[in-house]
Amino acid sequence: MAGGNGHEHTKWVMVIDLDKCNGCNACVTACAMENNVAFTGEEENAYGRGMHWLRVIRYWEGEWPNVRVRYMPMMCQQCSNAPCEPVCPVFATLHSEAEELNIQVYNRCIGTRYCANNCPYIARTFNWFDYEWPEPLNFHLNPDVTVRRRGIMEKCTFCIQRINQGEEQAAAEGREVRDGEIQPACAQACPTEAIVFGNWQDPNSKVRQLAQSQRGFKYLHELGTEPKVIYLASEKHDF
Amino acid sequence: MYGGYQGRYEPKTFVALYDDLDPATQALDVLREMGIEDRFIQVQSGVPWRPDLLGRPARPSAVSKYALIGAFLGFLSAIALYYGTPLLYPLYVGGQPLLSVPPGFIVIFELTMLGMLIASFLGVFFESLLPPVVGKRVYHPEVSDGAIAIFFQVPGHLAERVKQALSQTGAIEIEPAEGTFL
Amino acid sequence: MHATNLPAELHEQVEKLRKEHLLLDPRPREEMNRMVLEAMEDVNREYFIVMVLLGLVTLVALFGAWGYAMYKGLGVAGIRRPIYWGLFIVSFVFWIGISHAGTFVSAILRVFKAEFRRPFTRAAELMTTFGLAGAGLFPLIHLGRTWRFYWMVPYPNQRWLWPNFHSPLVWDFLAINTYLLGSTMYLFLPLIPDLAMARDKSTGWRKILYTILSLGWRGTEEEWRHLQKAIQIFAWAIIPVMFSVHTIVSWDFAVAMKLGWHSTIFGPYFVIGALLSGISAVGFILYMIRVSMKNMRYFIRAEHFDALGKLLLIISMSWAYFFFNEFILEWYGGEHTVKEILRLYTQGAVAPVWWTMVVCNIVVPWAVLWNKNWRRKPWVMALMGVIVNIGMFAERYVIVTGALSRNRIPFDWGWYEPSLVEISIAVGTFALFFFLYGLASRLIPLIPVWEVEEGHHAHELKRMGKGVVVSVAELE
Repeated sequence: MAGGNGHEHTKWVMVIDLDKCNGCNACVTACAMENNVAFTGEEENAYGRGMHWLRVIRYWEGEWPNVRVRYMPMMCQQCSNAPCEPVCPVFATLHSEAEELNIQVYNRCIGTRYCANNCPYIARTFNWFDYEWPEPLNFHLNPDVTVRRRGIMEKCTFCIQRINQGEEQAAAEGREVRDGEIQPACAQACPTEAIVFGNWQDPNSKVRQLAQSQRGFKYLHELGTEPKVIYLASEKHDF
Repeated sequence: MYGGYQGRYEPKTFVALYDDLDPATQALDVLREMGIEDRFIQVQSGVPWRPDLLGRPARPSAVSKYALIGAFLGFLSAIALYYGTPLLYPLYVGGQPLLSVPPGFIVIFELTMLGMLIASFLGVFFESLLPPVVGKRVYHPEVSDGAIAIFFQVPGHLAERVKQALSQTGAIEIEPAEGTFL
Repeated sequence: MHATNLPAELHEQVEKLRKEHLLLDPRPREEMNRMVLEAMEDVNREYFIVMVLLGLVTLVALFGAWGYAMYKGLGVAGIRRPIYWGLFIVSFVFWIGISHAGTFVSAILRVFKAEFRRPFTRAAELMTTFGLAGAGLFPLIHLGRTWRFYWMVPYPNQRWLWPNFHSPLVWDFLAINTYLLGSTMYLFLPLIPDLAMARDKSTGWRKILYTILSLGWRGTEEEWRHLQKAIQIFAWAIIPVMFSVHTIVSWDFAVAMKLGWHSTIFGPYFVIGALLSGISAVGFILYMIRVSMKNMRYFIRAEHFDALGKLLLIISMSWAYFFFNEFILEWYGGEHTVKEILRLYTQGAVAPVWWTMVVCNIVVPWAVLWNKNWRRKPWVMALMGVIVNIGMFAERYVIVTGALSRNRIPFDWGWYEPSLVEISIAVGTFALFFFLYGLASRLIPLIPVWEVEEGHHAHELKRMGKGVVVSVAELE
């Protein structure tokens, strides 16, 4: 299933083992810290205005007391055929040929929010207001990532700043990027190592190995969006 | 004081006003019989009368040519925008090809129609030479009240005879007019 | 009209026909001019108060709230994940729908030479122009960064960027621009002779205004020929443009990978919906004109409401047909998410709105419009205009916000309620529309006098057997 067609050009791939995910939300926090994701506050967040680039979907199953919960971290799937891209009138979101990712150009966005409506993964978030970081969080801002202002869309970038940094580092040292050298914040923070990130073109990479698993699937694969996140189904559930 | 020999032949412009189509067409017949060519006659009316009802030469309007040219220009600009601009700075979206035919139809349709509409609109004014920039043109405000105004130019020495003949046709008024036909 | 040599015993029949039909009841052109100008120049106290109020509401409710939204950010609207489009887009689609009235009534009826159109083509065309003025604001209002809207305009710029012609929003931009420019020119062309009439008959600042606007029109054979040719071209060409506009608006939804939106019938379904709201709105506007402006009872009569009512009934039936098509096929397909969406519509929280739509768009029009006596009552048609437009607003509300609140990931289902700012802006656009319309009603002759006179010339009463019949000559 995973790793089938449409992957000739794929570079960066994420594998998420749902069996290992315990819903701790460390990835959500790490993502927010790394990417200067705004804190919208309790009230706004409850209203559905949370800015999370990555969220952990939670489903309760069964009747009490036989309840089981399952988690599914969900973020931008970096689709090869991204539905969000063609609908943007100003090319604010588009396919980057260098990284083979779906990128969002903040200063080009005019805020039609069409991309967000057209994303089957509901992966995009919108800057409803200009947000301020409460003390002392304003000191943590990552200088490698743009701070977004009101009225524009944003979404998971696969921590593209880390990818670029890693590639530059490797190039400066005259070598290939080592597997596992580049890690997005979520993968780095995951205590159970449920999130693995790597280069698809490297036949020995960990992602490539994991993707061979029979548990592998791409979420909403039937839509033909060609996501670059491969989930490994938890044993009792199929999505 | 009468002018000299030259002045007598100087063309003079008059207007005859009619309140209905029948006397107006009759008057046009009279004018023609008196040897005044169609190009020295102009009819103004508050509603459009078909040339054949008036008995006047019918010429097709050139506005349709404007429409065609405008449509063509619109079509070209659509091609340039839809198939040209992506080549200037190729950006790929949604796994779609840079240039594709079906969505192009939409852009081509809209801009072709836009070109056509703008050109026919402007065509009306170019062809009728409106708005007037220089010179005064003949006009009678009674036209707004539904009168049919027949303007004609006659050599000065014939003016009285023509007026005489027209007075038989039931004109409300025959008076001198000032300005060019255009 | 010439009703000469009709025997005296037919007099009663003739009088009845005259009373019924404007085009059989000719008055001298001079008098009609005076009537139209009198209506136009009648700026009384009530008018002034209403206009000031409308202007204030526009200023505060529309532009004030819009400015506030720009200053604070779009968060002041009620939209939230995953319902990223709300009342702004609903209003946008609604006003685009209203704008279809003018073109349909004026262009299609002109092409088919439907004579009853004559007195109210302009009143309907004005609705197109001002409907588009309202509609055109919403794509700007709903932008996160309104001040960057011009990035959608294709022009060579320092950013080296052209708009993305793959995007339905750019198609929208092109289509709406074409329609706005086209319909404004189409409004202006038949207006020129009437402006020239106003120029000849008015004094003071109006004289100066109409001298400029009428562009030196004299009514020569040449001018008429070119004008008529152009009107003919416009009447034909604007019809496909009109269809394309609402089709493309529907494609904003239909091209999306969104269940409840991705439907192949959306194009014609939206077009017919636009006609439904537009035509019923014409009935409302004609009623307003008739009761609030001088001398309009002569020009706008029961026959016109009757004709509009028939048209409305047909359109309502067509709408019901498309609606049923859309609904039953989605429902029958049985996809989970789609079923959830339809359940939300029919039984869920959106149900009151959805059933309002069904009642206002189908039940009420069918119950009322079959009856000729009701169709002929102006206030009934005005009421239909209000009811059907409530129904059509509800339809757009259901489609835009209802479908967005259900998606393929149940964890991310949502619910939308418009905020005060959104409601204020939506209401403000109504004020804007009526303000502009009120302004125009006192600035331009609302009745195309020359077209009415042409109609008078074309109609003739003829004796046939024991009765009188109407015969219409083709003068164009």
